[in-house]
Amino acid sequence: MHPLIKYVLQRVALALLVVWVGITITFILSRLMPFNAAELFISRMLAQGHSLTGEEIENMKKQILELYGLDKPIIVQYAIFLRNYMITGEMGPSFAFFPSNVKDIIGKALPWSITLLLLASVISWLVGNGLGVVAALTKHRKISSVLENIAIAFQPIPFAVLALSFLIFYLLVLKLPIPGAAFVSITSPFEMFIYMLRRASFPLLVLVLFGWFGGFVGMKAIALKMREEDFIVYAFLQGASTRSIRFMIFRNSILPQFTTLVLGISRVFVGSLLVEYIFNYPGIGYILQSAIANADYNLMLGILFFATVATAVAALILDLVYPLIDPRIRYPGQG
Amino acid sequence: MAYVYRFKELVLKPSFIIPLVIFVGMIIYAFVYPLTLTINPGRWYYAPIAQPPSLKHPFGTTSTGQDVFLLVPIALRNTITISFVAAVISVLIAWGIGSVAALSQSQAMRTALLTLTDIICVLPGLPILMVIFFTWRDYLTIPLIGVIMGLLGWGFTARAVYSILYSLRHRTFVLTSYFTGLAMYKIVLKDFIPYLLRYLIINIVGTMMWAMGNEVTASIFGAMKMEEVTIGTTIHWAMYYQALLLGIWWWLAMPIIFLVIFVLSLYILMIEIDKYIFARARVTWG
Repeated sequence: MHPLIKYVLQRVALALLVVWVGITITFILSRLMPFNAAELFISRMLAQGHSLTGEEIENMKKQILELYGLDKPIIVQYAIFLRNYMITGEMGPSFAFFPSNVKDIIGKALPWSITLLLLASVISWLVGNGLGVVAALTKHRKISSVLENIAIAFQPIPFAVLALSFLIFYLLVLKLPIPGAAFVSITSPFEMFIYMLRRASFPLLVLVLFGWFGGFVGMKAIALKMREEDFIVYAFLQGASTRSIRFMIFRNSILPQFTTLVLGISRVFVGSLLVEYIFNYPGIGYILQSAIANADYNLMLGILFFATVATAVAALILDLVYPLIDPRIRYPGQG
Repeated sequence: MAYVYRFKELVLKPSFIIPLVIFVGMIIYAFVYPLTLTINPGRWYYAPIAQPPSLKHPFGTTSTGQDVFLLVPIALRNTITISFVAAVISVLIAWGIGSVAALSQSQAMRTALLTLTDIICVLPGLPILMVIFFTWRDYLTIPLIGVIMGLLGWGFTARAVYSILYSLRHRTFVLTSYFTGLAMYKIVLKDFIPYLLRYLIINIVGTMMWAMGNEVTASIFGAMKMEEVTIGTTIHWAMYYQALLLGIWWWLAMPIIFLVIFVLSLYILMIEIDKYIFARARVTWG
């Protein structure tokens, strides 16, 4: 088999496996909840002031039990759950936004989240690695050591704390407004995308501002080592220009760093959830907050599933880009 | 005569001794000082409301009538406990899985374990943790929160341990020891342990920081045992009661400042100890 096809198949299989594990975890969590979903739902309906007769309550309970399949053996329940989540997308109603379906609510938020997640991880990775190479090769030692000290000092601090401190600093010390985007009528997908980018710009800024440290530190170490490699010395002795040497070092250091980009996605995801909530960006993090505030378990389980899908898809996209960067996968009989 | 990085030299280094003092001070403030308190600082309305920092209340008080000076050590203690338990559990799992994957002879076992590690790495741990914490918040205790985090957070460490052990097995100095007839336990003791000790410390500190970040993030969303005082829940309640709008900045700033100082002192200590172990390993055994 051509190694490229084998590679793509492997990656798709891994993504599917991740999604399957995510669903299984969601299923286990939904069955282990320390209360009865149907009764909780009805008590919430009653508390909201819906007047229901006894018969209606019983009917509703039966319907919900049927929806969850709670009256069947556990294996059948699992099969139904898999079918509902994977194929029909039927995840039951949301408690907080009642007649709306969980699927619809999340479906609207998902493109926003994936856009932000991909942009944030790719841009902060590029910034970090670009700065890393420049810092390793520059003659201005002072600037590079200042950058490195900043990166080392900020790297261990939890992102949540950094984002909040930035918000406090931005609003209370600098007294600047947060740039938003007014709602505009959208006619084409392209306009939609532009609108999305404008909405995403500020959360993105925060994510990139505090997201480049890891890439920077790793890249600087690799690039410093790479500078001593024989092929670089050879190119230097041949009289290659500084720019082409710099490019050669970047090109060759990028391979090990690319793995950190793919594996780091779930960590960036944590940051993007929080940033979405803090800056009212209409992604998954934003709905997750309202789901938690309203004790909306159905919506939470749906988000859990889609969060897995979002990170798996983002990782898959980056994995599929990998052959473009690493020629060893493109050509048969190598690596 | 080779240069030896002596223990005395490490202890006298300012970049070691200052973070050490801060770290020990923090630990005393978080674990010993609360023992002397006669009230539970998590309770509401035992102090005047929303007072700025003064002599009587050095860090000010909150809108819910809590003294921040008494609140912060409890919050810090709980957050440190959570993150430490999480770190120990996840490092144990990661080292188990990573070393079995690296040292086992069977290809199938290795593929299976590495795939599992990849899945755990890609799975978004935080939403899972939030759902768990929110659903079982009535049954959770502080150490249990740490255990649950540890069970989900070992992916990255396991990958690192795998690659370290895998390359270590084929290093020349290990092969040299083996072919010169050194006993297996001596190879482990003299070649492996000094090399791995560094990574053990790095892993524990790294996972602690990961767990602290998760704890704070989950709490800000409100998916935590909210009546327990942690750094994250303190931030959550401060945001919930609009501390910034009302100008009660100390409520939000104090827990953040203490968390950052603790994390940084721990991190610098780790770097210095790591340098020391590395230098010792090179001179004495290398």
